[in-house]
Amino acid sequence: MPEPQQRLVRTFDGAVEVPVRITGEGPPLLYLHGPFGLVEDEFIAALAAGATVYAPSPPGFEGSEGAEFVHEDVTEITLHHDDLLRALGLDGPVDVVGHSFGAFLAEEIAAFYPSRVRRLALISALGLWLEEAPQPDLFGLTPGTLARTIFADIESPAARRMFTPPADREEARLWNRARRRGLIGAAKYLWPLPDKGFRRRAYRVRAPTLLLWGSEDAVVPPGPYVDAYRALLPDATAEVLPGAGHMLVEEQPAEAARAVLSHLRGA
Amino acid sequence: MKFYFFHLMPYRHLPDNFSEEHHSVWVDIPSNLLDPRKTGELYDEYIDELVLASTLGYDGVCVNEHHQNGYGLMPSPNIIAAALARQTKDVAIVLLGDSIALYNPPTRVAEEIAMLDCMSGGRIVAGFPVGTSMDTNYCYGQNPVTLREKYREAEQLITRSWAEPEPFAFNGRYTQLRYVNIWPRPIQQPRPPIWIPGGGSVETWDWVCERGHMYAALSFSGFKRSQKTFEEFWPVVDSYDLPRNPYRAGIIQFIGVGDSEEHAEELYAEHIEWFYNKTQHVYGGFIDAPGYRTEKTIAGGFTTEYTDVRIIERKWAQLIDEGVIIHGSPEQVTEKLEWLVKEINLGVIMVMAHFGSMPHDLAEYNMTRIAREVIPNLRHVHSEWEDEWYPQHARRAPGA
Repeated sequence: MPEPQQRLVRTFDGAVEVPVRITGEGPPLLYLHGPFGLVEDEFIAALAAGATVYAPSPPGFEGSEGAEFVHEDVTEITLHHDDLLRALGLDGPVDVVGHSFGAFLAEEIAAFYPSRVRRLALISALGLWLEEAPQPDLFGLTPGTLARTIFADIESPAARRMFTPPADREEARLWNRARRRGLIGAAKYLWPLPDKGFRRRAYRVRAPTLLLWGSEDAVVPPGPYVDAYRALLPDATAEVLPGAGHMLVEEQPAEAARAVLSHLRGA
Repeated sequence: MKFYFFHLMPYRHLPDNFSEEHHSVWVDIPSNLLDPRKTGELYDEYIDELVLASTLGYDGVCVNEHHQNGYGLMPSPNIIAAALARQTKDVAIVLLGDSIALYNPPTRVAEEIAMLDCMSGGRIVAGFPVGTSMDTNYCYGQNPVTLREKYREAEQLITRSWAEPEPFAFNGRYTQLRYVNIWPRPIQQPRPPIWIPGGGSVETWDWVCERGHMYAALSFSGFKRSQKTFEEFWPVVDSYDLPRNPYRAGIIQFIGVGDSEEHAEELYAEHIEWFYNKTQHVYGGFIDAPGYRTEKTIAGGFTTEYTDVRIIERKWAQLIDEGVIIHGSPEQVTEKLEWLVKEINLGVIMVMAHFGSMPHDLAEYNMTRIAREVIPNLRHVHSEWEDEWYPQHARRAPGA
């Protein structure tokens, strides 16, 4: 397998620059990560066994430039992704996978540009708001409460890894900054509620879709939200991983990658 | 020197165990803690205190805007200002202020201030805060990443709407209007003075200098923190080739006057402790929404106190030590204030003479003693400067 590489890609006629991690071999797969930055290394490595993974960070996240150029509405961030796919030379249909905030971005790509998406996987997706199942405010929680909300088990190695800053002072500062920039980048598009009208555009999605959830997801509870997505995307299939929370890509990376790759292979 | 009486209008009937039992005083405070009839009585008391201040020799009275909290009962400062426009004479009425990014279109604020200026005979100061993260992002749902840009656009629109004689079109990113033509217009021309409340961010200092506004430092951290703020503020003013006019800046200051330091402690300690331990009990997740601080501010070293447990348990001795409250006999308070306003070159003190759980009679006592026994001794300070940020038709106290 070729070495992972990092590319910088410009969009909006050069005004915006974002980093893209490229790794693996096989058909192209666009992976859009969640609001905490690209932390799910194991999951990416497992996907890379069956695909060439292109994992960009959205504008605003660490390593990006010019985020202020992209307005906060969903049309602008989706235009950005259209530019990005073109810049990467991915003009034919590609598989698109997104987690959490990344799934919010992915479903909009599939709705705005149906012909760009071959198959779609939405993992713990943000993008709908149900009155009967209000979601916790990801952007209004202290770190301890956030950890308890996004992980099924806060004592798990994955949770500890994500919420333990590096021991070195300077590294810890950079780690903090990266985390903060990620939340800022995501908050810009999700504030104050993560519903920007996908419901009205869902009919445009043509790609066969996998809805992959953790049974213990306390951010987007699978019961009501998987049902709501299935009602909007009648051909979607759903898989719920027992014991995983909102961060299932970190909590159960191998199982999550297996489910995604088998969906993309059409199995 | 000028002295303004500043009221926060706290809901002073919070239960004693409020901080232990409840999540936050701001944003999601339980509604069943509030008794609307008692609230009505508080408005009466507090407006009476503001009216009393206007007769005692304060140069103005200040009201402010906060939402969904027990710390202040003024979601709309303009409503209180409307009562004050009718019930006060002569003094400035300082809106400190209207959070202009929250109003759609912001010309609503331009209209209300124009109304108030007409009603008060030209005594209004227009204050434009960005607003706290709790107010703007969590209570009013404003996007934290674009809040400041929206705020600046609103300031441009409002000041233009007061100044331009003909209807004009405004093509902003956040507001588009085909016909801007507010009625009525303010008495003060070209516009009421503008004060910008701030918490110490460098970009605000640059901006007030560029726009020629007054900077009102609204920190409750005490005068020691204010000293640091102004050590950095005045060089920024220099960098714009502007004179160090002391009236360009003001601070808010808790003051408690008694017969002696001990007497003042006896009178005021429980009320200032109540202020900190109850009305500053804000859930940590609501303090600083992602994007509320600009990248420049974060890059400049600003770090959020982003911890799980936020206990603000402060006692009198600590509050004295930090300079949060200046207390003692009138002579002691005068001496300390004189030193302070000369040291940091301040022309404006916004006096917090009512704070926390203070009852009405004690508030009247404190504000009266400050007005009669402290303020007259300090009028001469900075009298060589012209105050360019005082309303055109408010009365200037002798010597101020």
